[in-house]
Amino acid sequence: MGPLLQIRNLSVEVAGERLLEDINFDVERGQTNVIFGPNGSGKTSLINAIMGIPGYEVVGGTIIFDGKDITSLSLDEKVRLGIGVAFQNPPEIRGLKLRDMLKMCARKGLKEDLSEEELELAKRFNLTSMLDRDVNFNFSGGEKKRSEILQVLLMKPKLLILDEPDSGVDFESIVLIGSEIQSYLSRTGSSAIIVTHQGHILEHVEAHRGAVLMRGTIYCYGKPLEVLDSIKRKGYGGCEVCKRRRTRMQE
Amino acid sequence: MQEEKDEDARITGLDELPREILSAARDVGAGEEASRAGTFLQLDESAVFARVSELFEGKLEIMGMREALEKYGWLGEKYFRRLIGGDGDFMDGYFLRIMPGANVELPLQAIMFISKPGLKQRVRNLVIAEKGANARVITGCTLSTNAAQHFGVTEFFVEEGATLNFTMIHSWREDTKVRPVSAALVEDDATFVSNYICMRPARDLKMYPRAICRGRNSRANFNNLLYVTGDSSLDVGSMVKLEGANSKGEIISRTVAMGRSKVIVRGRLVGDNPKSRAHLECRGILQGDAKINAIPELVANSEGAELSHEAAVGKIAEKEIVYLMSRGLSRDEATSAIVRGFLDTSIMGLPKKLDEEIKGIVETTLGKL
Ligand SMILES: Nc1ncnc2c1ncn2[C@@H]1O[C@H](COP(=O)(O)OP(=O)(O)OP(=O)(O)O)[C@@H](O)[C@H]1O
Ligand SMILES: [Mg+2]
Repeated sequence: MGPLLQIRNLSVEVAGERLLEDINFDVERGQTNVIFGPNGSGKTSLINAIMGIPGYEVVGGTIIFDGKDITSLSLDEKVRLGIGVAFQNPPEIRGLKLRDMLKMCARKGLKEDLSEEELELAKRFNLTSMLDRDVNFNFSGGEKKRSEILQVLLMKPKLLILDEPDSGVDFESIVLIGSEIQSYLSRTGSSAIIVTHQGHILEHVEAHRGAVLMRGTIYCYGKPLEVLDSIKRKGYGGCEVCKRRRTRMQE
Repeated sequence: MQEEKDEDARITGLDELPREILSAARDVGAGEEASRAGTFLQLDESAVFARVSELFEGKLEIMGMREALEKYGWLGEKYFRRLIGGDGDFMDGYFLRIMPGANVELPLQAIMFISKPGLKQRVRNLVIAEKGANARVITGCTLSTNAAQHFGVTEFFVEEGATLNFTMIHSWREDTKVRPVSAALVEDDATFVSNYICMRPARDLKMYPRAICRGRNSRANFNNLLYVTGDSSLDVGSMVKLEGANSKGEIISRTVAMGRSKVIVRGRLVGDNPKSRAHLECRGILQGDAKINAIPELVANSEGAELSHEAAVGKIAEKEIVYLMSRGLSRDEATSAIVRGFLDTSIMGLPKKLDEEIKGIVETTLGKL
């Protein structure tokens, strides 16, 4: 069995404009990859391209998931294969209750109730009192993050893609989010891609590989904590002159 | 002769209705008699059933409009045709009276049904919530036939300290013409909530109900949920006139227009009192070749009146569809989940049980489409 996710020479355009160039990126089974990169470097675009969000056009390369070429599958088809994404900025949907959103994630009909276990998880995420509110409507920044991660965990994906799960989140919530993610990963052997700026989440989630994405392309791969440490010390300016720039995937 | 025919048509329980009528009535909210404080049914020209549930005897009255006019000579002086005049003929209609101080926890229901092809059903209704009364009414209007027309005139009197929550559900056909006319008078410390749900197309439907908040601290809310498909043409407005000190009004309308339908959504707030306040919210989503024309109007006739509105019309936001698809829904499923959420019954201030029922009706209808 090869890696769970294999991205080969991926190039992506939005409205004819090139956002990502020649991306190579593997996620091994049971492993967690971290993507670093400055604002506007293309991290979210890469996630959108992997997911098949309409508008993000793959103009070159392939995406293989679980041994299957999913490059041209639609978003919902990919989701049903077992990829779950927590968005950096999820939209609000008026009239749609978080409770119903969670039921969709758990593939339940609207007439079914959430199970004890699912409600218990919502409780651990401190979201019990939000269940009957319109999803994301007037949610605080941290509430949105918790709700996104809870939704993804209820989807029980083989690959979790988390876009800045720790941005704007208080210390306690990072512990909570981080440990729930790690416990899910350990329990199920699933894989993850995590985008983070500060890396706080990495204190609670064990990550195996890191990559730096700059100007739409991957500059380097390395041990996540080492990459983080080097970014902290030298900034992304350091990546420009780094001798490890554009080495191959292996550490 | 006419009298006799009416007598013949009378039934002694909803279960005596032909199955197709009963099931159509259920689709517009008709519930088991046991779950209602009282039930009224008009079939074509005449009232065929009117009964107050035992538990609520003495708290309310339900009868055909013609019978009520015969029984209570005083209706004409104070109520009947006081808000909406005209001396045109009418077939029948319902008379609902909630006695002073009565708290009616279960909903009262009135069903208007057309079964005769081509019938022009003309009704006159009168609802009186007397001093301090508290009640909710659910009325369903529907048919089992083609080329029919429904003309309904309804007058509401919500007297001092009373609360009346009135929910009307319509289900028509592509060739039905519908003209409901209604007006409500809301007195001191009284509240009138009028909910309108139209889930099926109609060839031509026009209505512009109004509420006059005459009393101090009076309140009127209109909530409209419209799901418009096919070649339907709807012109639905609501108007609140604020005459009393500290009177408040609110109009919320949500419209989903699909197919080649055309919808005009009007809202008019008139602030006559310097201490009045009202808000209008009009939101619409459209798909296909549908058209929505939102016309909000604020008329401030007094310096202190505070009137506001917000309106937004457009297609379903792509990013919302994408969000739901990312949770495993297909594009169509995502679209209908958004429509379902958009037509949110929880804006209607209904008690939980009734809200669940109405939500069920909305969902069943959407599910059948
Ligand atoms: N749909 C789009 N249309 C136009 N431009 C886009 C679109 N999506 C992304 N971009 C542009 O592509 C670049 C990368 O954006 P992206 O959101 O991927 O950055 P990011 O690395 O996630 O940044 P951040 O750390 O701020 O979240 C930005 O310049 C952005 O404006
Ligand atoms: Mg981003």
